[in-house]
Amino acid sequence: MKIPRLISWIGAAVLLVMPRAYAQTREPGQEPEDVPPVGDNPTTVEPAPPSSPRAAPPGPGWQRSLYGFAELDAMHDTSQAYGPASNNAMLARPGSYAGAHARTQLTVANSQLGVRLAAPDYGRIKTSGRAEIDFFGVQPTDATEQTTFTTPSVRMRLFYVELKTPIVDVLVGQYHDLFGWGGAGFYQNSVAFLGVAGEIYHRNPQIRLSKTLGGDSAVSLDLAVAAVRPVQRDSEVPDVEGGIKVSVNTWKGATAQGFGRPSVAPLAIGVSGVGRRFAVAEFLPNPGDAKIAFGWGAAANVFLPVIPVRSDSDRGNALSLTVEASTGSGISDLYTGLTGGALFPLLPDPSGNLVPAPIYRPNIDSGIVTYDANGDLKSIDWRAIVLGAQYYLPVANGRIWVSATASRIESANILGLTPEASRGGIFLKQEYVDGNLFAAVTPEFQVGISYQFSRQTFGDRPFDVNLPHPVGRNQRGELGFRLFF
Amino acid sequence: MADACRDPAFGTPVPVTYYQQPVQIARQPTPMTSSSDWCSGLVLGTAMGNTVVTSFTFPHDTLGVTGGQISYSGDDPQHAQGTYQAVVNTVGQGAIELSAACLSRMGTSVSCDAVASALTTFAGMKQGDPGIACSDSPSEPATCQFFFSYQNIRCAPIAGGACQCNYGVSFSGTLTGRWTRVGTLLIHNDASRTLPSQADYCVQGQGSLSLWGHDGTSILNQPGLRTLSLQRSP
Repeated sequence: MKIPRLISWIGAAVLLVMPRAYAQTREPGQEPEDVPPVGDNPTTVEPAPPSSPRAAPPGPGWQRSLYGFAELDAMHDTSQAYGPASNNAMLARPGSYAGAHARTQLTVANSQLGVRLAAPDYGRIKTSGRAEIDFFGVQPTDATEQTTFTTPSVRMRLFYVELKTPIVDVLVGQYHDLFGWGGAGFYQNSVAFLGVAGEIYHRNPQIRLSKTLGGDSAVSLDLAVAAVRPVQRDSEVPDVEGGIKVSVNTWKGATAQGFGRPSVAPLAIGVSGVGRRFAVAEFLPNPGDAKIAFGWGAAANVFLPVIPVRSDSDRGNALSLTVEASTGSGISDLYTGLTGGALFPLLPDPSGNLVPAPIYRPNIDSGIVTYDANGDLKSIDWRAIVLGAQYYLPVANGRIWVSATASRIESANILGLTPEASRGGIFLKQEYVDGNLFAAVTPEFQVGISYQFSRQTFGDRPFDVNLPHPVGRNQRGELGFRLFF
Repeated sequence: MADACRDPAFGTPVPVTYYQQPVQIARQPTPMTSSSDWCSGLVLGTAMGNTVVTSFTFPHDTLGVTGGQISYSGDDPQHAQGTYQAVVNTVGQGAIELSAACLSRMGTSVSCDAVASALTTFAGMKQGDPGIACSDSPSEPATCQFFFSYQNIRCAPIAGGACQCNYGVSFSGTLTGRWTRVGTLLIHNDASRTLPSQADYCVQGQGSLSLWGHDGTSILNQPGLRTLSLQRSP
C-alpha cells in the first residue's frame, strides 16, 4: 500500500467522528516528545480519493503528516535480567546464573510510525487527531527469541482526537498520563528507553479537559483534569488525574526528550496528582464482597534552562536540568514495568488436605495492592526522584551534546506487605545512573552512546539479620541510531 | 573446614496449595503467581489444655556456613575414586510476625509465650533421621524442615494482637556418596541425587585442600556454596 493511501486510511479512522472545519496547525509547544508539528514535514500529502463511504478520506482543507523514526538499539548488559528496556524490571540476584552472565541484544522495536491530522477550523474550534505506533506489542506466549526480535508485534502508543475551543480544550483517546505531566517536556535526555527507574511514564485512555491561560504572554498557566481508565476495571470508578503547569516563555532552554530530537522549550514547573479506587475480591477462595482501598499520587516536575539556548538553530553551550519527584500509594503501574516483585499472598490451607486446594484469583494486576497478614487490603507505597542534565557542547551549533540521569525509587511498606519466606523475591529500592553522548550527524540522523548502571536492594537478609540486604547490579552499554522522518 | 564462601541464594517457596489443583480449563487465565502464606502453614490446637502446633514451616533466609567436615576415603590405588561423607554446618536467624488472624483462625486464643512454647515443642519433633536428602535451601520440600533445628524460639506481643517470633536456625545435614577425580576436577556423586556436583580442587602445602564450584556451580549441591577451604584433621 502506498504511503498516501495508508495515511488516508489511518486518518479516516482517527477522525471519523470529527466535525468538518478549516485548516489549522497544532501548537508546537503542545507537541509531546520529538515530533515536528503539522505542516513542517515534507511528507505531508494531499488526500487520496475515497475507496469506500466508510473510509472516506477527509476533504479539502485537511492537513496530514506522516512522521516517525527508524531506530536501532544495541545493548550489552553484565547480567541477563533485562530485556531491551530496563525500566523497573527485577534484577538478577547476586550469585545466580542470570546475575553472573552477560547478554547482548539488538532491536528495532522502538521504531515509531505516526500520523497526525488537522481538520479545517470550524469557527473557533480547532480539531486534530493523532495515531502513533511502535513495535513493543505483546508477544504471543510461544514466541521464540528470534520471532521476538525480528517480527515484533505492533503496539498502540497514542490514538486520540483533540478539540481546542476558546473555552476549554478537550482530548479524548489514549495519551500520556497527566500524572507527571507526561509528554509535556519534562522527560530527561537519555539513550535508555523511557521510563527509567523511578520515572513516571505511562499512557492511558482518557478524557481530558485543559485550559491554557496567557499562552502568548511571558508567563502562561496550564490547568488540566482527566478521567482516566481505572487501573482496575472492577473498581467501577475511573482514575482522576489533575495538574497545573507554569511556563516562563521568555526563558527557554534546549531539551531532548529521551532519545528524541532536541528542541527549544520554556522553563516550566508542573505539579500533578492522581486518585483511584480499588475494589478487590476478598482474600478467600470464593469471595463474597469486595474490599475497598484508595490509591493516590503526587508529582512535581521541573524543566530548568540553567544556560538558556541562543536560538533554535544554535544550541551551543545550552545547559538544562530536569527534576521529577513523585510519591504515592497504589500507583506502581504508572512507573514503567514496576511491581517490585510484590505478589498477592498464598491462600492458606491449614489442614493441608483440601481438594482442590484453595486458590485466590485476584481481579487486579499484581504489585499495586496486596493483602496483609490480617487480611486487610493495602496499597503499596512508592516514592521516587529522577534528576536529569543535558549540556550542548559549543561546537557545531550544539549538534553534539552530553546528558546524565540519576534516579532512585523506594518503597517503605513493600517489605512489611510480603510474607517472610518470599522477601528474597522483592526489592525495596532501586538506584539508577546513566551518562550519554549524542551527535546529530545530520538534522535527521542522530547517534547516541550510553552507559547505564542499575542497583536493586532485595528484601531478604541472608546469613545474619544484622548484615545488609543483598544487592543486585547491572551495567549496560547502549548504542542507538535514529533516523527521523 | 577452615573457610567458606556462599552467595545469598534464594529459592521461591514451594506453593503447597497449588498441589492437587484441577487441570486448567482451556481459554481460562491461569492463576497469578503468588508469594507465600502469611501464617507459614501454622496449625494451632490444644491437647490436654496445652497449646500445640501440629504444622508450621519456620521461614528463614540463606544460612551462613560456619564449619564442617568432609571425610574422603579412597578405594583405588591411583586415588581416583572413593567414598565421602560431608557434614556442612550452617546457621542463621529467622523471624516471623504471626498476625492475630493466624493465631485465631483455628479457633484458638493463645498468648505469645504459649506460641513460643508450642513452637519449641514442635521444633523438637524430628521426623526421621537427619539425612542425605535435604540441603538447607529454602526451596527444599517441606519435609526437609525437620532436618533443621531451631533454637531460642521467642515470641513477643506486638501491635494488633500479633506475635513477633524470632529464632535461631541451624542445619547439619550429612551428605554421602562416591567421589571421582578427573584431572583437577573432583566429582561428588551424592547418594541422594541423580546429578553429580563438580568442584575444582587444589592441594596446598600440608593437608590443605581448596574447592571451587566448577564453572560457578555450587559445591555439594548446596545452593550458593562457591568455595570451601579444608584443613586435614590431626
